[in-house]
Amino acid sequence: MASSRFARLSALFSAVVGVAVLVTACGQSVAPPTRQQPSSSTPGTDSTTTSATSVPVSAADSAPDTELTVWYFDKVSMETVIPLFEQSHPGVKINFVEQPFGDMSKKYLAALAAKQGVPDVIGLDTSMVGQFLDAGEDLLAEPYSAGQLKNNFVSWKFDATTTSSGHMTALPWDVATGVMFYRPDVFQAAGLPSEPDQLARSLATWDDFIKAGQVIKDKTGGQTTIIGNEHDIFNAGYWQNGGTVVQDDKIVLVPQGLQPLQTAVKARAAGIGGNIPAWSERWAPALQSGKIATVIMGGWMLGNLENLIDPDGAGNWRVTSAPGGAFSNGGTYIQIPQLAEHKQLAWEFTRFLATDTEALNAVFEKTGIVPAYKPAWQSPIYDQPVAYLGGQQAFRLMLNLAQQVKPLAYSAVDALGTDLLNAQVDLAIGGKAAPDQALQTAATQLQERAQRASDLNLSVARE
Amino acid sequence: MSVASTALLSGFRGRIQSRRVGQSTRRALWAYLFISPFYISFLVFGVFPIVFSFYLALTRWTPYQSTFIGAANFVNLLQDNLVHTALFNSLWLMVVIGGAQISLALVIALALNARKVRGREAFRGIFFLPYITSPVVLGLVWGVLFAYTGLLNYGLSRIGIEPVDWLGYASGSSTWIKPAIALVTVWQFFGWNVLLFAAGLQAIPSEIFEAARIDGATDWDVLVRITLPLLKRVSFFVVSITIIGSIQLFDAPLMLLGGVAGAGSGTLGGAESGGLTLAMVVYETAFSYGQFGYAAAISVLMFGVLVVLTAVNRRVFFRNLED
Repeated sequence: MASSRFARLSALFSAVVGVAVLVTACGQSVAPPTRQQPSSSTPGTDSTTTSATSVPVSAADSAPDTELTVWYFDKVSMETVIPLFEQSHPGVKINFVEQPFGDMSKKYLAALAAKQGVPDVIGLDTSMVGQFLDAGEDLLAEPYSAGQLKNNFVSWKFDATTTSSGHMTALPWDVATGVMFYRPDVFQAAGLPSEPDQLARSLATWDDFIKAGQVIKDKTGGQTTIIGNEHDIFNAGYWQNGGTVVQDDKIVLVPQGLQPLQTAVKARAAGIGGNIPAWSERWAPALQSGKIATVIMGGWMLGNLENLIDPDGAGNWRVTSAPGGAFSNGGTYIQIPQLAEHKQLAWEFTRFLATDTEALNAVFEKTGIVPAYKPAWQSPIYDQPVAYLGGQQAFRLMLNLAQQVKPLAYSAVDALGTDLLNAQVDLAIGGKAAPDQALQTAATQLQERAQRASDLNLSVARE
Repeated sequence: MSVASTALLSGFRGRIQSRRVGQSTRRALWAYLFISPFYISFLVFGVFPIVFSFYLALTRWTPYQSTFIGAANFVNLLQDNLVHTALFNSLWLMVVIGGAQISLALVIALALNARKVRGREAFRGIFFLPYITSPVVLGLVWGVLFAYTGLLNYGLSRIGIEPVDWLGYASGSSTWIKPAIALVTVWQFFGWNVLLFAAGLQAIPSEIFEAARIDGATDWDVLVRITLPLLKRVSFFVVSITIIGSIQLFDAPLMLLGGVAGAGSGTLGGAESGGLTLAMVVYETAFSYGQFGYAAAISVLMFGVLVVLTAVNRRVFFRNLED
């Protein structure tokens, strides 16, 4: 009896397993888009329909890539480009995997270490790209020959991902020029210039900025501060110097960071910060209510202000150049990993992302993200007034500033170096360490850790 | 019965027996097959990663290379200030959290048990609530409370106390970071310990207390000579899970100190790395800096620390007992 019960159970188990295997097998056979019948759909129809019913890339090509996996953290821009690419490349299907900004580099690291599940194309923020310079295909080499495109890109942006061995493993997509968003009402109330050009002239240096901060503080009885906290002043000044962690195997935190850190310490002594860290929970309410008068970050901050931080603040904000000049803060590079499976199609997509003016300007119109590819700038859309900024023509300013950024370089230890640097910068601003000593400590910590954990021999630049 | 028929019969019995053995083996095999999904997944997702992490600790494993380097990672981590800081922080948090949490839980459990408290179950439920709340949510909410101009400092200012820079953002000082983390953790977990102690107290037969009273024992005598000794096994369990939980502390400090903003987000445990725990340094080393081998070595160190502490704990609790 018992054995017959087992027999029945085993039959049931076999049936379940069999069905599971069949379902999986069906899934696998259906999932990849194979060669389809010629399509009757017209160009410009919905991308899903197009990709599902269209012809392969090239009938002559024996096995063309028809499917591509793309990782990126911004859904809007990628979902703007992908339909345009799929329309111009019938039969191709792009699998876009939206990755949370904070997780993407961690997942990419894990995929590279495991040599499994690596995407064909990945969009990397500038804070991440250094870590992955060794992971990408050399785009200057055949068959990519991206060097031919160089003159059309903002030069510092194009050169920044070229390693010391002469490989360029990521292509610029957008350029995020640093600017100063400000509240004209606060400046006006303090008796300071409030028009963009006038304000840029009167706040040409960081010393000017500190003096203006004191005026605002005095006039408002300390209720309003010119900036959230002094670390933001350090960041902007450090980025204006390039914001480079390692240059030619030398840790350059001291020469790059000393003068900005001294400025930030001076700003703390003058008491012009509001003790509100950027992106902390109190930052957005303080920006909305005008308790913080400026935000000095990349131009992408416009979209954040408009959609997330201060959606009801249309007309309350303006933009101008930051004290101390232009800098780069953020922006995306496109990489084709060496472990990618569909490199040919990946390069077609990468080139399309970075150099197709129609696609670039479509993304710009939706997101305000400014392309690094200069021919796209000829479009009149960059002269349009921005309603959120009280009708100011903000984008030409960003494009002009984009070309004034100092050359910079990325390195494999950027993330670690930035974390170690930030901890020391907070100490120095808090008066617990001298600026040069703090930067020296960060540089030495980075040197030791890079040697111990990654076998990288880096020297420390003292001045 | 003839010899031949006897032989035939015994051969027949033998076949029946062997068939029975075959059947029971087959049955056992079927049983193993049915419970195999758990063991297979445990082997793949439990045993293999543990064993592999010991191997990983002996390699320089980055996204670009995997080289066997022997004990070099361990030699390096002995000289790594960041690891020393994390180890110190973890031990500090273990002592403070353990002390505060266990004594608080014990006092509350005794109070709920000894007195005729109305709504005892409701109190237990209330104390237990933080335990079932997501640590991420707790981190976010406490982050708001701990802000320099947050609710906690507002409350302190109302009673004439200067604002405290809990998370070190305002001053770059780490003085209050560990107490803040300890406060959140104790608040989150003491309710669980109350429940464990309450269960332990209820398991003590009431006759023992009654006998002690008849013999003229005071409340203090009952507590020190009867209740606490009889709570020894529960206390050992509570101390053990508190040690393990405190050394593995990760989510609360990460959320409080803003470790979710991505690469280069300026974390490493906040100001002066005051909130950097061993688990955080493992996570950051592997997933922010791509040094998987070194991270595995730190996790082996963490394992070693836990083994030693748990062994010491066992020795302290049961030194006078054979088991």
